[in-house]
Amino acid sequence: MSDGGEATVRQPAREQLMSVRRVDRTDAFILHVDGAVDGLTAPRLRRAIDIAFDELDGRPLVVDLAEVTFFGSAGLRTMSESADQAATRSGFEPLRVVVDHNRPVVRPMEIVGLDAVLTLFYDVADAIAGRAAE
Amino acid sequence: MVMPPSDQDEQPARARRQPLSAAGGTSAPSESLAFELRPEWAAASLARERVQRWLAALRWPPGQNDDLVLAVNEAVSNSVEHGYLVHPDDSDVRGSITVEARLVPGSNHTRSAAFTVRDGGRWREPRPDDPHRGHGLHIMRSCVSELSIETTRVGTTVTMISRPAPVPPRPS
Repeated sequence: MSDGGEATVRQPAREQLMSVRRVDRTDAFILHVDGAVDGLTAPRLRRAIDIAFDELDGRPLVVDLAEVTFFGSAGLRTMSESADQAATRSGFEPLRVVVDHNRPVVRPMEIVGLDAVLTLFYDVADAIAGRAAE
Repeated sequence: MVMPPSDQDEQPARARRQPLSAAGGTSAPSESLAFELRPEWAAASLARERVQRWLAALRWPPGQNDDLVLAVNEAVSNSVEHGYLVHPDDSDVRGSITVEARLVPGSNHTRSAAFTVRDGGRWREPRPDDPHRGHGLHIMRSCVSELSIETTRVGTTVTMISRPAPVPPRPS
């Protein structure tokens, strides 16, 4: 639960709002994202994806958004630009995005139609195996 | 109907906080909310937290609460990014963003929430070659029943009226 009004931390640290954990496997590179993706934190997600792109070496990149609690237009933009980048670079597989049924992520994606553009998965195992969500 | 002054939420909330089991008891949730934010990138997360808590105290339906938090996030982010052109690393841009919310009674035991997000920056129309800028407006339009944007020489005011929500029954 959040605390009362006056106890609110005035200046949330970017690290508190969102965390990105990277898992480097032989068959995939995975970024697990946790927390809020907004204008403050999206640039850090973008950097994490860019770094991952450089280390892929032919493996698919899985971005796991199942634990994301808030996803605004800055997050949509980051995923859309990253997916474009993966699609246009030679030797890159399409970005694999795990959303499960996580409403805070699915709802904004549906509003702008990004769910029809991205390759979405229910869980990380499906994403690694390439079993796309319907 | 004239709404009461909108500073109730700014009172020391902790002093009158009730245990959750007593929610809806003696202290009625505030019918309005008002706060001011500095034009910085953290502003949107602060606004989200305040709006989410206000609507939850009013027992707003959770899905609609999420939509309104999303809409307010986009309005505040828009002020920061486009109204004040705040660079992600800036923390001392002058100006302010004011967020106000109040309840509007509706018919058939419904009510709506009206939000205004006001800044002193310059409104910039999305350019056709920047589809992502349009996402924020698209989200705001989709999450509320009425969106209006008023721009003047001194700033931009975004007004959003929620879809009607049922008035929750009084706890017995």
